[in-house]
Amino acid sequence: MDENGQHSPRIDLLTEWMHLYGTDVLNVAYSYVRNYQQAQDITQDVFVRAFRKMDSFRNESSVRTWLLSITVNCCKDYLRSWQYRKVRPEEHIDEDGQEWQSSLSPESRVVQRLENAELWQAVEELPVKYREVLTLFYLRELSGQEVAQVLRTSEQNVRTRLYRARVLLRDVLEQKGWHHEQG
Amino acid sequence: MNRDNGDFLRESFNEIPEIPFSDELRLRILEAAKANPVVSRNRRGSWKPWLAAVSGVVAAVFVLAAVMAHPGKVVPDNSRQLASASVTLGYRLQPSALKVTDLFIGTTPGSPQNSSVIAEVTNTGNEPIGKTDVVGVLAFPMNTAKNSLLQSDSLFLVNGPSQPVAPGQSAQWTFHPVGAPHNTSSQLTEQPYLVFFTNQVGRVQAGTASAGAGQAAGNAVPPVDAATSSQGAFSADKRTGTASSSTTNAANPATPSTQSDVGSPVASTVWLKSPKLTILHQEVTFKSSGPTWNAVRVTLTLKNSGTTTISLNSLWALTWYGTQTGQDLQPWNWGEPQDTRFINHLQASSASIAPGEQLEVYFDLVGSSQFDFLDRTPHVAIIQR
Repeated sequence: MDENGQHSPRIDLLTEWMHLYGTDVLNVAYSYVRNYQQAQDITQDVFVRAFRKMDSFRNESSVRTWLLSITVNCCKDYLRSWQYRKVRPEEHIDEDGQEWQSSLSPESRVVQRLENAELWQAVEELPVKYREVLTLFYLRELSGQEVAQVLRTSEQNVRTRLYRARVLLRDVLEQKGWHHEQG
Repeated sequence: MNRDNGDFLRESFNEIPEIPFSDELRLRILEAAKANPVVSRNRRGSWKPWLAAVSGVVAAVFVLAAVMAHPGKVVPDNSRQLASASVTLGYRLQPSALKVTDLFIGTTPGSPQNSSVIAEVTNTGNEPIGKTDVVGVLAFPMNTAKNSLLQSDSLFLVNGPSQPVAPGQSAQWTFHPVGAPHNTSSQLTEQPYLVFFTNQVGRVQAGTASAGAGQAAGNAVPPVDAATSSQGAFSADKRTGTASSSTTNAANPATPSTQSDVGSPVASTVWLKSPKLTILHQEVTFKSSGPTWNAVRVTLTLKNSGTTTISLNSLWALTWYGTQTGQDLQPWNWGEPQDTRFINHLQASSASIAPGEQLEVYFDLVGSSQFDFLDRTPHVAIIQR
């Protein structure tokens, strides 16, 4: 590889990883930080870190779980930082702002739809430890073993947290009137 | 939710929209990766690591010989250059005659509203004080009541006023701290604290004093929070940049929230390098840039060779880029007027480093777009508070 990493197999591999797992990384990051710009920044951070550490990737896990593991670490770093404590995490979008909406990018419109989804709002009310297992298991459709690898915990712990997360989520949804008609 | 909760959730989650990974983000990451050469001390010319290793062995032999010949004594001056990096225990900072008499958040030309720190500074000495005669520490303390450098969200090393201040005169000092705690409108959200030291940074060495340090390791004073001895809290109205003139409460000891450090007793400060932390690896990578600035991330691999866990909260990274001629001669000295200096908290995946463990930590440096961070190797010292 040349010094700047240009036109190299590593760049090609990075491009492939972004193609395959970019959506995973971005959406998982968003589930933690709930701010689109910040999620993009973290996604960039994740792939640049992975690019720099390609040589140290030892195939002990899949590339996907490796990248998501880096993502989780980056997000937790951010959640511990002053920036998260001081800056409001989510810029909730004004539903009546039609003129402004028309200028939104397609990605921002998706974020808007996401934020307006009641199920997502319910998930966001849960503590991070439950939100993360729900996101990885249901949204990203990782197996229990893969979730355990990403979160660096045991599969049993993941199962326990998933169970509690479902119970908590059910309670939240029922409070929102999701009883029988939704089920 | 009468149906099986898991099935219901799986179906419901399938209906949640997925944020697409845009081409713009893809290109942005590719640019960052391409512009991200790993600057590592391990990546020099093929002969340099060998030379460095041989030099290190020779240096170690000299240091060992010096220690055996003069246990507990100062390293002789003629060997200072050789051994300075390994025997410097910390840095002594002397308070400057430049005192902060008023400090508030305000607006400076070209910057967003209330995104700058503005101070009135007074020269209480007998000599004019210029921009490079002092080094200031600007902090945004978490707890303003303590008005402390120790518990702060953000720290900056800053220069003195742009124009020399004559003895007895006051001047306005301004600084736009990029990266300080702010809200979405770029307005600073925490009250600042500012203290100036002379640029004559002394070295605290093993043995007796040297190079102006004036402090032996055996009885080195613990790290002193200069703030507690020089300046009190700021009034809340200064957050808005509408502060009135400064007031000095030195005559009223019952009022700890003095806004002026003029006339207050000030002590020198010692910043000790962490004795049990070793930097095993250091690299600098491009992070981001704007029209007038660029930012890099410094990543360090630290090893705790001690027997107690070290909290990252107790550490600062002191980073400086020396001048071409100065940096090799006195790698310990970050007080050179032309040095580019930074002070940062450390971030990592863990909040502490256990005995015998290694941890990768990082921090970001933001500078003018004119400053090429990747062209030079920074000196980094880990200060333990």
